[in-house]
Amino acid sequence: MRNIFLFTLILFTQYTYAVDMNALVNARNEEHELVPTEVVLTDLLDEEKLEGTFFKIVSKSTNEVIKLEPFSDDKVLMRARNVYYHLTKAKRFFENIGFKQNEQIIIRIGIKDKFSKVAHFKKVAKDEEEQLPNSSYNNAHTYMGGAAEDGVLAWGKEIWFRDPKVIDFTDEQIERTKKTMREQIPNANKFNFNTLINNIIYATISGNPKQYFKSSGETLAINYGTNMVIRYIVPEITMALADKSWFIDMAMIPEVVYHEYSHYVMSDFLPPVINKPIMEGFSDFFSTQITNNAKIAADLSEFGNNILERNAKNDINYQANFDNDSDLMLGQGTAFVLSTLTLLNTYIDERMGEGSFVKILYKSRKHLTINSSISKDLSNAIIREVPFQYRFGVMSILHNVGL
Amino acid sequence: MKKIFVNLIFILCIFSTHIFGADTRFHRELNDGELEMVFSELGFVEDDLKKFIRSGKSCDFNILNFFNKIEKNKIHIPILMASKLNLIDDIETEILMDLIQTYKKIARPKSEFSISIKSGNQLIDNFYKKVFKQRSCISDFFDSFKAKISIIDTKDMESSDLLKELTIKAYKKRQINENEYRLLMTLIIKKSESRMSIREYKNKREGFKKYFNINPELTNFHVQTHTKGEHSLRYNIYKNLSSFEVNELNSLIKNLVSRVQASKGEIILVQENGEVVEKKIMSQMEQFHYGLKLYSIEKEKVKKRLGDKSSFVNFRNLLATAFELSSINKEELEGLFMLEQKVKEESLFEQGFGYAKQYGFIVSSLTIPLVGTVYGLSLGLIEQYFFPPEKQEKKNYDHDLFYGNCEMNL
Repeated sequence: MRNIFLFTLILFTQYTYAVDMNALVNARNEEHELVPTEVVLTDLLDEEKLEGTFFKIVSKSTNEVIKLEPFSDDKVLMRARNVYYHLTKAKRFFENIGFKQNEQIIIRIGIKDKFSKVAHFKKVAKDEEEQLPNSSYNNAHTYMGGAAEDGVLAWGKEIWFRDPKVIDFTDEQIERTKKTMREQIPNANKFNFNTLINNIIYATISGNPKQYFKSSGETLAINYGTNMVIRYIVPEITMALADKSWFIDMAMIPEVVYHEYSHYVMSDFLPPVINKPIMEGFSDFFSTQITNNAKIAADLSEFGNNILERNAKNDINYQANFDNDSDLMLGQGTAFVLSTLTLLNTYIDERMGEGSFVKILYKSRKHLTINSSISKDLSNAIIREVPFQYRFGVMSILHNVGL
Repeated sequence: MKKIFVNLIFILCIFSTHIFGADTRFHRELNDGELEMVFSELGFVEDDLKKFIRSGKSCDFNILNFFNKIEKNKIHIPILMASKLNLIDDIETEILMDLIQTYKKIARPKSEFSISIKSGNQLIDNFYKKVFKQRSCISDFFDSFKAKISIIDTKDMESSDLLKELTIKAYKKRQINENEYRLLMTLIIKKSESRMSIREYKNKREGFKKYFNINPELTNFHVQTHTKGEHSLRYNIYKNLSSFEVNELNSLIKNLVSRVQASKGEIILVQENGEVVEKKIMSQMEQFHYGLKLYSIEKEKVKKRLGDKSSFVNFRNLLATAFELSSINKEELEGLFMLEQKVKEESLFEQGFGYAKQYGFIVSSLTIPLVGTVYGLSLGLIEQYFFPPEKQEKKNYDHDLFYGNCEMNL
């Protein structure tokens, strides 16, 4: 009751004294390039700080609100402005599809601590920090709130952005990737061996074994050579062309901000406590809709390389291991959910009008939990929210992608 | 290059259809603006057209005859206009456009009259003098004439050849004008084909109406499935199937729809003493696949029952029939039709790569081994980079209770 009163008071104050400020942020232009753009930061409570009714941008694990210096090129201030602007944009998008934000959420920039469900923050040891690049180093996260306990103050839902780090692939990782690629390339040696045996038999019974051996020998040599070259050269070239290190300054990439805010929006039913293809795919999909482009985290300019680029138009069929909770399949599973939702979006929006599917999808989260499966629960949840007359179309699409 | 050109033309056609809205396949070839402009140039007004079509009395050739003053390249204009104004429906349009196609191809006679007729001259003269002046259906009048020409001594000439010769003669004698000549020649040619007339279509439709609720609406599905040079699905239904047969076809989709749309699906295993061993609630997709599986089984049974008409038991015909008989609505028709279509069309690059792979053997066999090897290697590299194995993973539906591991044709 007290909180509602305070929030209403803030809301009232905000409407009375809200400040709009011009500022420089990173935004996509019409060609979808990431360029510095002058925008208006709205709903600010103060001209000097990045705090609004709905977002409070703070430094690291403190409660200290980051200063608003609209055109400063200080990296932290730039990240803070960027995040504030794109969160406001994402909030407007979700308001249009039925979401209402009733609280102020804290956004932490440059945080180094780890998240703790009990203590809120957990210091990262120096040696642990060194090891972080070798694990999956994701520097943007949305976290659920926690209750007050043993001297720890209660906290609400928060979005964290760590400082970007350059992550180098080790030689061992590169070799492992090459090996995996080689294993995926079909091996024709067995086929060649069988052909050789067949040829020996045919040559024996043919009238001109010498000529027969000569021509079939050439064919086999070419087959074998081609096979070996492909199996050797493809992984070598791919890894030679691939980036050996990667980094991404997530706070500077609009789609990452949209993705994290989408997690926040869905957190009433899909709390972001574990990475699952459904919730990651949903967030990616909403991100494509807010940024209005099928590609997200692409063309990152100097703010990263494209290792995390996602394309909603990828053609991926369902595989049972997307539902196996395997970290290895998380990326593929997420890409599958993203591409499937994009197909459904096109189908529904063409018939019900633009923006219809995002509303349906937003409602369908109510039928999902973090343990929901793609094969059964995701289809059920969407079909339940789709108007009756369009269900056959939706089911046909789901069937066509292997569900 | 040719492929790209064809694709561009296709895209342009789709685009123009999208702008002006297509009523039938024929309207795709002409947009509304052009149609109205040429129609008004012909000196007709809407009321004339209404009068002509209504007094045509369901007789295809009488309707065509109303427009016999129009030059042959524009004779389709009033027909398309009549269709646009809903004076005739899509099947009547198709029937008339089919006649017009033949009509346009009839050239002026070059040969001289080559047969001598000893008896029946009076009969022939009477026919050609009256055929375009009498009020009944030209086609019926022609049929009665055809029945009588056996009295003409023509040394065992085929009746259609004889009729052609007689028509040439009538044209040479100026008993009929060029357009009338063309119309009669069309009639002779079309009589030898197994075609459906407007009258036959109307009779069949009235017959269907006694048992079913007919839906006359034309959808994108109908336009999309009507390929040039072939009859439409609706035409084939009315031409080839009886009330019993359409009912059989209809029941397949009707059952599928009611199974899928059931609010809940459960599988319950019960022991002899009534104890429930297992109860499983089906997911929406399992219910859908259950419907498809039963559809597949029932389809084979219907095929057997229909015997020589079993070729009509295919997915498109079934959808067209179910829609015609109002068992499914437009959205359901469109949604089910998507099952047959690829969700994503191949890009030009993907198509090109497919061709390069398909015809790779030509490169290998016509060139020296080194070229073949480099060609194969390049294809391998492209495939690995752009179409890696995980993207080519085939669907198996193993996760689904009713669809797993079963190959099924729609």
